[in-house]
Amino acid sequence: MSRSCLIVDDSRMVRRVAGRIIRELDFDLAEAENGQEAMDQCRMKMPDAILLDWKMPVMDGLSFLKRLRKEPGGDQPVIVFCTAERDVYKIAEALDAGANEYVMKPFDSDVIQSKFFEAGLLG
Amino acid sequence: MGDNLKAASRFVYQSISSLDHITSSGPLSQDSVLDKLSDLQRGAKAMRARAIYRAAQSAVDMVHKGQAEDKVHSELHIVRALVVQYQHGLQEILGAEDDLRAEMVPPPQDAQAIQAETINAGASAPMLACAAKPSLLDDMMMPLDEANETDEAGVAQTIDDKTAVDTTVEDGIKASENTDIYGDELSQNIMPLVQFAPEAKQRDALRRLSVLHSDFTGHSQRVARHERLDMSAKPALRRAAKPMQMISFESFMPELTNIVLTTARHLEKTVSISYSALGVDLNVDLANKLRLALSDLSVLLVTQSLEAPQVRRRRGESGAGHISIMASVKLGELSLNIESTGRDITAQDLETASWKQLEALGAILKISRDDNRLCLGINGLHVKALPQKPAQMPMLEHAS
Repeated sequence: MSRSCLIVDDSRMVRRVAGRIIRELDFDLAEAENGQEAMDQCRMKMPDAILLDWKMPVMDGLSFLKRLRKEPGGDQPVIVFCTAERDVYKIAEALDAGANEYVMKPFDSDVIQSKFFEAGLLG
Repeated sequence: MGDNLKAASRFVYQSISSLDHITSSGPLSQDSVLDKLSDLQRGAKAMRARAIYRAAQSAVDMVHKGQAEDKVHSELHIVRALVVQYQHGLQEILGAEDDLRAEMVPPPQDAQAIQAETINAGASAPMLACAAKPSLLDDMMMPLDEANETDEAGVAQTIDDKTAVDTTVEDGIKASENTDIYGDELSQNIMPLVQFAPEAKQRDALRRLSVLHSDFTGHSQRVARHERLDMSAKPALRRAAKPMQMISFESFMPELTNIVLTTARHLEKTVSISYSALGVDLNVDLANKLRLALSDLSVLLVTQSLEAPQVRRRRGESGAGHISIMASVKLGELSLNIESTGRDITAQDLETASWKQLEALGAILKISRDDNRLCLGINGLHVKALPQKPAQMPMLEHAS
């Protein structure tokens, strides 16, 4: 059974780029434009991995992260938090809130692959 | 509220042109650089490309601070990389549209009437199968003249100061609430501006917030029910679940190494990092403050102190910079020695919140330079309960 990854980013361009990378890693793909959409999708089917943007309208990445981790089964997905900030406070905040890994934008397939590998998603 | 693909294409083209102009045209005046970056930011704002906007803002800040040209150029490399990634996403979307065109089906009778209207309006886009997303259809069918007008409106509404942003956002909200008057295209161009405003300014965000609050209250009740049944609803977070009171210094290192190498790669720099710690364990509070300070410091050293390989080679040095972190305990006090083969870090650069937290704990910072090697000594952090480890931790080294 193939694994699934939810990409959460309000930019369609970023979702496309990330989606191509994730598909190459043999993941089934789902997309959400913001944290609220992502939460709705997670309640229907919890993905194995989530690539999560920080700044989004409606519900930002951090709010989503905190809420998801309180959901039943919300501790299961490996969450890779994406940020364009080089502010280590933001990174630390995300890790403290329950993110497993983080990547800095712009990311590439090597970075995503290594993060998924470190998180045990790739064998 | 779909992306306007034509405007996105123009944004990519104009952004790359602007960046090329800045980086390839020889010395430019500060005003000229700022103008180009300002144009780029307007486009990024209209396209909701926040990462590009913020990276450009970092470059603007560096120009304002009179940073060295090579440092500004390093920042511009990041902007360019982000624009290129945006472009790749755009190309994939446009490629998907080509696929849709290939799947074009003969239009039904009522669609032919719409097609005729579209052609009369100046667009020559064919009718697509109904599987096409409405936003894509809108993008394709929008006449170019209208697209230009829309862009000009977007630029006119783009703003130089925060007050103006807020006013425009308020106007935008009003306008977007009355799409009968202003039409979907206007709302499409205003909504990105709305989303750049603080959420508290967005009426729609407040409405959604009330929905979220209701949702959250329900969720809390569900969590409470789980707890009464002794069914833990709390996630077993990897980091939060560690019950340790003491944290080894070396446990910081994978994260620090990651930060250094990731930052270096984005800046197209080559950096190695080594570290050693002689059985240094820290209490959790100190460890957390120190971890943040070291993370800040590592980013600072890579971004500000270590120059690009070509700059280093021009000085006759190795293209790769090096950061060394050594920790030891003397008489119950933690002593850190952080060395970088770069330059130009000052005490002012280190005035970060994380460093202030360490100062509050009694840390003393000493900066010295020797043969282009910067040395930051941090002494005086009192450390309790130090179980000695049997062997010295080996020096580890990573290079990007």
